[in-house]
Parts: sequence; structure tokens; C-alpha cells
Amino acid sequence: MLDFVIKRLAQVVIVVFLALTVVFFLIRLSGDPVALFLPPDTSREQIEEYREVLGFNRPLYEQYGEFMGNAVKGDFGTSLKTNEDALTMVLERLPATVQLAIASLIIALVVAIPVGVLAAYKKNSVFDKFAVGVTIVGQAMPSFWLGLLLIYFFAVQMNWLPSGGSGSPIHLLLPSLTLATYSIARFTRFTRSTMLDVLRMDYIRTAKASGATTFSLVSKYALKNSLIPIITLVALDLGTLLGGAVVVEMIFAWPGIGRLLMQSLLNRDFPIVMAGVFIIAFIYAMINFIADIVYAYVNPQIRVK
Amino acid sequence: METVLTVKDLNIQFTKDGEVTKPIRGVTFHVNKSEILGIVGESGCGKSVTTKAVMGLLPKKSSQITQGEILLGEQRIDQLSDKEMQHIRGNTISMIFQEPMTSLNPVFTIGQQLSEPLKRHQKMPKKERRTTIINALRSVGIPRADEIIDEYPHQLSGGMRQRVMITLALLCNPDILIADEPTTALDVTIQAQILRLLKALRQEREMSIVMITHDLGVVAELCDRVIVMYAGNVVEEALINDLFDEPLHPYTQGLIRSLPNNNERKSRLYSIEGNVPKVTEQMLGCAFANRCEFATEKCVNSAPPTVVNGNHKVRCWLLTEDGVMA
Repeated sequence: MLDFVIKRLAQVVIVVFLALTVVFFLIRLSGDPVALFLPPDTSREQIEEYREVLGFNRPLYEQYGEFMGNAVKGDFGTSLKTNEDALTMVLERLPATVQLAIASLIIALVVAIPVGVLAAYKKNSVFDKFAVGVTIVGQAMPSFWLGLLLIYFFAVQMNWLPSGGSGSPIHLLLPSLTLATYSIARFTRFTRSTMLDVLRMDYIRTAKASGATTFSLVSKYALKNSLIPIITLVALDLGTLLGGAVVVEMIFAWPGIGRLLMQSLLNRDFPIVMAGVFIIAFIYAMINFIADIVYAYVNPQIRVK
Repeated sequence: METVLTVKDLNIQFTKDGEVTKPIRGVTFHVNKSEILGIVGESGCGKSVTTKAVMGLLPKKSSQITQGEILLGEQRIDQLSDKEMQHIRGNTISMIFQEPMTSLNPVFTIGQQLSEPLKRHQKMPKKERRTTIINALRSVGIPRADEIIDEYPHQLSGGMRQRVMITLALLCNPDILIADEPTTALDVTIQAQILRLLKALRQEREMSIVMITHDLGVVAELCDRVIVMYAGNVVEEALINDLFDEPLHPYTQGLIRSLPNNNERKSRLYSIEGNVPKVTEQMLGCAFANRCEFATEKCVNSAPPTVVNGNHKVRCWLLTEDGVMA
């Protein structure tokens, strides 16, 4: 088990390193940050001076080497705009992003698992067909559009909910619902299909033959088996929810990492982008690592003794 | 003799995508108290469907009992609701299945799975359940029962799993145990152990066993009485010795002739020519007629009568009124 943990942790390091490397070079391709944030009438000499100070005039490999050297120590530099420590700025935004991701995940699980189970149990019923239909729409609907629709309906027309911002559970409702929609659809379809597989298994027939009620058959004996593959999916989606909430955070003016990253990218504030990429890559890799361990815990067949 | 289970003129029909099949066409048999009844026949003859109908385990949507009745003692059970059947399954009638490797739930311990019938049928408190289960596991010859109760199915061998399945079936002391090819997936030594166990359990508990198998060796070893099924019908019913000494139906004769003989080594085993008719086919006469070497025109055109001679019943045109070959 220890071997397994060490191996998987090494993979986490590699994933984070590769993500940082790729983003470092990609972002350098997007242009010179100095020209952008200095006023248009700045003289050529002044621009050169700034480039010298910030190190952007040096060869790319030198910049990369220095960046990695500092990054290992947890130093991602300071914001080109505000001069604050980049990593601190990103970490300050982390709680808001986590809050949104967890809220979305809870909504997704609470809706998707019961609906998926019921759809499988009542296969080909009106409910099943309706649920499958809705999930297709949910999976196909882009979040920027859904977010705008929700704002239009609940904030503008009905005036029930705030259109953006943060601070109270009410503020959390629309963005987390928008973010959850895709996961709801994915989890529902997945729960339904694994449940259908499990309900055909011999051991379900055994439980039935020993007098188990329909309820305990489905909710106890079949559900635990179906949950195993769902854990993997939850881990993957949670990573996406944490890292990929950019669009939703922008639409709802949610003060999370996604919005900070987007703004920094537009401003070419490289240190913040790199710190943000580091945090997201690290969280994504760690969640998958944790999922592997939970997986081993739930499924006794792969538990190593 | 007390009869614990009666199946009378059972007809079952499956509907799938608008196509109707009739795998069971007028099956009649009964099971006496503390008797082991064998049901033999080749794949697709309706053995499993019949017993699933008895257990109420046929899929509700696609299958239908079109005629006949099933009686548990005096009580008619073929028309019971699912809820009412839940009280009977695992309690009065239990069943063990062919595939011990896949018949236990992989994510629950043996103890958790064996708790269900005790909880449900006997409302037994938790502590008592544990001791009951450990004792039950011991009684079917499982060593280290107090450890195995907390283990998962994948930690046990096939033979051990089948013993666990038997324990599960016997926990509530059923009147009838239906065993659907319980030894087919096991190797011969384990097979012999399981058969011995079933025999011993019958003796101890005065329980009736319905043994479904296509293995005449198992029948000879275990059963008191046998019914032979062919294409959804019972073609012969006899006490075990009568069946092997004097098989009357040409199909049964064919089955027995195709058994390998230890004392002689022939180049090829005997086999019955032809195939089992499809269950979709409409049959006027005897279902076996197209494979029967004695078949006459009458066999093809009209359904054979059941000829009764004491305990020996045969569904065949070839026999006269007093049950001898014409």
C-alpha cells in the first residue's frame, strides 16, 4: 500500500511540473506583458528598462530555469500590476472557488444519484425517458448560455435572486446550479447505466431469492456496487469544477480563482497565471490521488492487505 | 405422504418484442415432504423457468403464467403479489444457484449478506444474528466460520462460496430447497462434498429438495424420484430405481444410453439425433417425435396421453394402458 501511495504521489509531482512547463511556454507566446501595461506614449528606452528589470529580455530558457528554481521554493514572483505576492493572491481566492465547487458537487450528487437509480429501476418508463431526455439537454447546454438564462429569469424577470457577487448562500445558488448542470447530467446517465448493469447481476437475484424487499435490493445491495465507478467520475468532475469554473465565475462575478486567472491572463500578469495554474494542477492531481485511495477502500477486491 | 409443493398443468408464456414463446407447456409434478426430487433435461427444456416460476422470480413484464397453478402446501402462490412472495422467498422456499462465483455480492461481507433473511423473516436482533450465522456456517462444514463471517466473497473458493449460498438458503429453515445445478460449476471432489452435504441436511431437517440438473450421475447419487423434462413438458416421472432400470420414454432411454460407461471404452458415445424444437414452434403432437426412432404418424399429429402405472408416469403413445411398451 505504501509503495502505491509513493508512486501515485510521484505522479502528482510530474503532472504539476508538466502543467507548469506547458503553460509557461504557451503564455510567453501570447506577447510581451511590458508593452501592454505601460501607457502607449512610453518611450522605447523606458520599455527596455522595464524589460530589463522584470527579466523579459533574457533568453526563454533562462527565464524558464529561474522560474522553476523559484517555483520549487513556492515563490511565483509578484503581480506585475499590484506587486503583491502572486501565490498569496491566488490562495486568497481559493476558498470562494472551493465553496462553489463543493456546492455544485453536492447539488449534482443529491439530484443525480436518486434520479439515476430510479430511472434504472423503472427502465423504459415515462420517468426514465424523461430523465434521459433532460440529461441530454443538460449535457449539451453550454454553461455561459445557461448562466445567462438563469440570470435573465431569476434575477431580471422574477427578481428573486441576485445576478452576481458573493457573500451569502443566496448568492451561491445560481452559479452553483449553473456549474452543477453538466455534472448532474453526467452523473445521472452514469448512475443509470451502472445500476442497470448491477441489477442484472447474479447476486441481486440471490438477494431477491432470499426475500430482500425491492427497496433494500436497490438502495442497499445494488447501490453500493454502482457507487464504485461513480467515485472515479466524481473525482474527475470535482477537478474540473475546481479548475474549470472560469466561465461561471466570470458570468456571476464570483471572486474565485477562475475569475482572477481570466483577468490576469487578459492583463498578461504572468506570475499570477503561473501561481493559479500551479494551484489548479496540484488540486486536480491530488483529488485523483485521493479518489484512488477511496476506491481501494470501497472496493474490497482491490484493497491491498 | 404429505405433499409440500404441487405444480398443476403449468403453462408459461414469454413475450419479447411482440414475439410470443411458450417455454412451459403443461408441466405437472409434486414434491413430497423430505423427498429429493430431481428435474432432468437438456438446456432449454424449461427446468429453470419452472423453478423460477415457483419462486416468483420470473420477470413480471415479459412473462406470464397463462394456465395452471402452483401450490405451496395448501396455499396457492402463483397469484401472490411481490410483497407476499417476499415473505415466502428465503423463508418457506429457498433457492441456490448454479454460479457460486457470481451469486454473492462482492462488496458486502459474508455476515452482512447472511443477515438479510434473519433480519427480514425472523426479526432477529443483531447480536443473536451473528451467533446464528456462525453456527449455520459451521453446520455446512465451513472451517474458521468466526473469521469467514467478516470476509468478502472473493476471499473464498468456489466450493466455500457454494456452502455459503447453501447456508443463506437454509438460515430460516425452509420447507423446500430448490437447487438449480448447484454443482455444475464445481470440480468433482467439491461436487461430491456438496451432494453429501445436501443429503445430510435433508436427513437432519426433514426438508424437501428439488434438484435441477442435466447430470444423470448427480440424479442417481442424490434423488429419490425424478421427472424428465423435454421441450417444456414432463415426459417421464419415476422413482429413481425404476428410471434407471426401466426407462419407458424413448427420450429417457436415449439419455441413459448416452451416459459414458466405465467398464467399456467405445469409440464414440451414443447421442440422440437431432435438436430440441424451438419454443416458438407450434406443436400438435409429441415434441420428441422428430427425434424419436419409434415415432409414428400419430406421434406427430396428436399430443400423447400420460400413462400412469403406480409411481411411474410416461407421456408417450408407445405405451399401452397398463404401461408396457406396445
